[in-house]
Amino acid sequence: MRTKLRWATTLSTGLVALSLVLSSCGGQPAAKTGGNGTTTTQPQGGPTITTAFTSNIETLDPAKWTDMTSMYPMEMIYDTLVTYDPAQGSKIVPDVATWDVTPDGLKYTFHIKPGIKFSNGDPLDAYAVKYSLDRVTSKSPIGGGGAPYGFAYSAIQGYKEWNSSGQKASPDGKGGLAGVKVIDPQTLEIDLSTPQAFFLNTLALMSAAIVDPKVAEQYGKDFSTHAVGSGPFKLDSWQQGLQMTLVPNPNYWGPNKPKVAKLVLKENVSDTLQLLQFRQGELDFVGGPLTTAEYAQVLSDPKLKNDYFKVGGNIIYYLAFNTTKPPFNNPLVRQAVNYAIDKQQIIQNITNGRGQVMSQPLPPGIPGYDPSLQPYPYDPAKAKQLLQQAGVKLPLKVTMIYPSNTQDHIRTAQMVQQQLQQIGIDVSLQGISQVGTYWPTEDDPTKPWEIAWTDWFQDYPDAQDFLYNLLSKDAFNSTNVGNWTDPTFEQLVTKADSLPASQQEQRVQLFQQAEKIAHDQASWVFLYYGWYDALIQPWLRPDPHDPAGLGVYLHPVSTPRFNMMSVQK
Amino acid sequence: MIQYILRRLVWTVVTIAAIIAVTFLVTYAIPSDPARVIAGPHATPETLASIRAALGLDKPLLLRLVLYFGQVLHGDLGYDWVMQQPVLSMILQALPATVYLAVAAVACELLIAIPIGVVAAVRRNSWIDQVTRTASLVGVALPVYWVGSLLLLYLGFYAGLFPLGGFSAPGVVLPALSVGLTGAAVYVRILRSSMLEVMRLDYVRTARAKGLAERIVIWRHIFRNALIPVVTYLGMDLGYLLGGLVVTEYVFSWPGLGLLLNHAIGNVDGALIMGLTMFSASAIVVMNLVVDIVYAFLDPRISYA
Repeated sequence: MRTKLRWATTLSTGLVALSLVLSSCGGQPAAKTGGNGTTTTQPQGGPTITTAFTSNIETLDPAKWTDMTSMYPMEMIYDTLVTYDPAQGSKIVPDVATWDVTPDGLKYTFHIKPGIKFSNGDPLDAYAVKYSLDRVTSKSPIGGGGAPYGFAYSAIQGYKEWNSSGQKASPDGKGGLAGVKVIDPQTLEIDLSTPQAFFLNTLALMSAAIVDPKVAEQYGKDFSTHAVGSGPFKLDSWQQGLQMTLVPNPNYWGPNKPKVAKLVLKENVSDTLQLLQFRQGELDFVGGPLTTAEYAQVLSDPKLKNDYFKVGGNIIYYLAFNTTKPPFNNPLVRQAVNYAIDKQQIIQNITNGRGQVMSQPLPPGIPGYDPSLQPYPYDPAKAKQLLQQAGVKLPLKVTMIYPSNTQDHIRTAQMVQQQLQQIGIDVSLQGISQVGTYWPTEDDPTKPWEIAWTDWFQDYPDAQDFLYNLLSKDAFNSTNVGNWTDPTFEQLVTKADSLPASQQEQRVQLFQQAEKIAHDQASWVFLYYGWYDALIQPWLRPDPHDPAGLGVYLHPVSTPRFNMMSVQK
Repeated sequence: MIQYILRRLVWTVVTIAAIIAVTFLVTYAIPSDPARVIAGPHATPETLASIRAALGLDKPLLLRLVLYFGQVLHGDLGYDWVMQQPVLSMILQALPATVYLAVAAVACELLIAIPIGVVAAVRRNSWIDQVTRTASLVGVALPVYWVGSLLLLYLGFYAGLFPLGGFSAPGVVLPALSVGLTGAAVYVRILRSSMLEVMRLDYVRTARAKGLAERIVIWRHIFRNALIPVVTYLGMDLGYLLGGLVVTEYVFSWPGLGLLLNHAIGNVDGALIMGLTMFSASAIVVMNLVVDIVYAFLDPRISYA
């Protein structure tokens, strides 16, 4: 998943910088807030958590879902078969079902916990799960081409036939994916056509959220605005583009029942306003990643500093090379660029120190990361020598594309340009607009560029989401933007992906071998690992100085679980 | 008169059609793939192809333009690419907020501009005139997002007098004021020069010679007749503001057409960009038409023969 960075942040960064300057010479805000910034208004039945986004909540329909913002409410409205362990982010644990799997990794049997109901009282059973999976893998009736994440379930037997049939999912358990069978209302069997170690991860994605078949059938394309699930909250009201209100689901079965009366999600609130509103106590939670200008404000304000949390996320920032033509089809030239860029300086200057120099495609939190691989050190002399060895004529003229919609991106690109200038590479910068979650020019098969600034954050915490999605042949001209490839790497990753989850140790070994190849071949310029950050009001946590005691479970893809937050109000 | 209005109406339709054609061609000239916008970065080529087919993107551009005209004539602006909602209903939903803000903004502009403009003209070359002329020059030059941010920070955050953005009745004050402060300058300059011109005319001298009170001369004889260029500009201004206060609405998170357009551009959401551009262009064209007709009432000498 590409990080959804914010349109018009260039503008807002300027505004934040301005307000920073002004606030540093101003006094304290007027009333409305207490000393610790808590809101003074309390609705009946407990406090309200209010958060805000710079963009729209695009959908609540798992079959239309692609974006991060929508995950905030969706995680609260829906349950999935399995989920992530609150204590250890990347471990899969039962949600509505426990499971058995055969040693070959081909047959999963899910035992759905009895008595689970949707928020409207309808029962959640194996039929509902099958319907939800059939619906998200069907080509009809949502959108032109089926669900964006339907492909994630292509390992299930009969996926191709069902997807190409163009038929609609049926709530009676008939038809649909041949590999998904209702044994009885509490038992569901899923047969895979090939073992897939990360299969359970795909079942924890929001595309596998379990919807109420009755309601989904009733509203069809408009299900998004009438969404019904079995999660801790339910949809109360939604003025699209403005705000959504969730209230606790009275039928919620899980152990972590919401401790608040309402969850308000405000849409389209600019970064600047979010910070002001947080400082005034109107917002209780501001999700990151914060821009450098915002973070600078956090550092200079004692209240914000106290409310700031680093919340993981496994984000990678890198430069992809266009390996389809010289000079970057030559590993020596790619290595030279890796040596020529001072990543630590970028981390210091661009992110205010919120990053770690990257050594390989996988971030440290993902099994398969090899701690013995060292980052390319900053060594311009070595870079020059490698360029000479590769027979590159200097000065070398190249074009670098980057999304020019934030000040941080622009400054990163300029810094790379300056550093490459030192070794005789003239970079002409071409800013491009970011479209939602991707950059159109990246996908252009004609690749009118040599270097592309890009980033990625995990869909799920498995090496497959990085190594296969970003560096395999199947992802050419899409998520493998530079079309880098290596036959051994490809073999290793394909093999690791087709092993059952029970052979995780062997997978990790294969991934580590693949990592070494990508590192040595300099598949990219490895810039830095980043993370998400958040601002959380003190009343939402027991001890402001103990992130471990936050009581805020953050999903591996970094959406907060508001039902798990401790409330002291 | 009626013939004139009919002629203008025909030209209005032609202008809007031309705007649609140009916007359509420009929007689709952007190297972006709507199918990707809809399906996200993971989408398979088959998914992309079927979305393209469903949206008719596999047809030649000119044919699509003709089909789009057909749609528009039926009042159908299509579905937006990201949210997959009818564009027309999205526009209609956002419209009231923009109308509310635009009217409040124009009111602010006039409330600020009229007294200043009149005083500047009447006390021509006095220190008041010099100060207001300089101030209006500064006003024209001030970016609205800067003024907006200052107002938010001082009147909203520190003083706590107004809400920090968002849609509400008191929430309109700061965005309207920031448009008012920056936009009033233009009105001041127009009104001042127009009044100075009128002041030189014979009938003003006659009015004074008749012994009318200066107040009556200024407000009834000079001001009213000096209003024509102000009304012209007001029409254009209102049309422009209705088209979306893109920056202002962004700064204040005001859920109108401007914020919608911000969003549409960010996502290169062609259907929504088309709809919004068409709407704002039409607003300007229609307001111009209205202004021309209103002239007749303000100044009976204008002939429509």
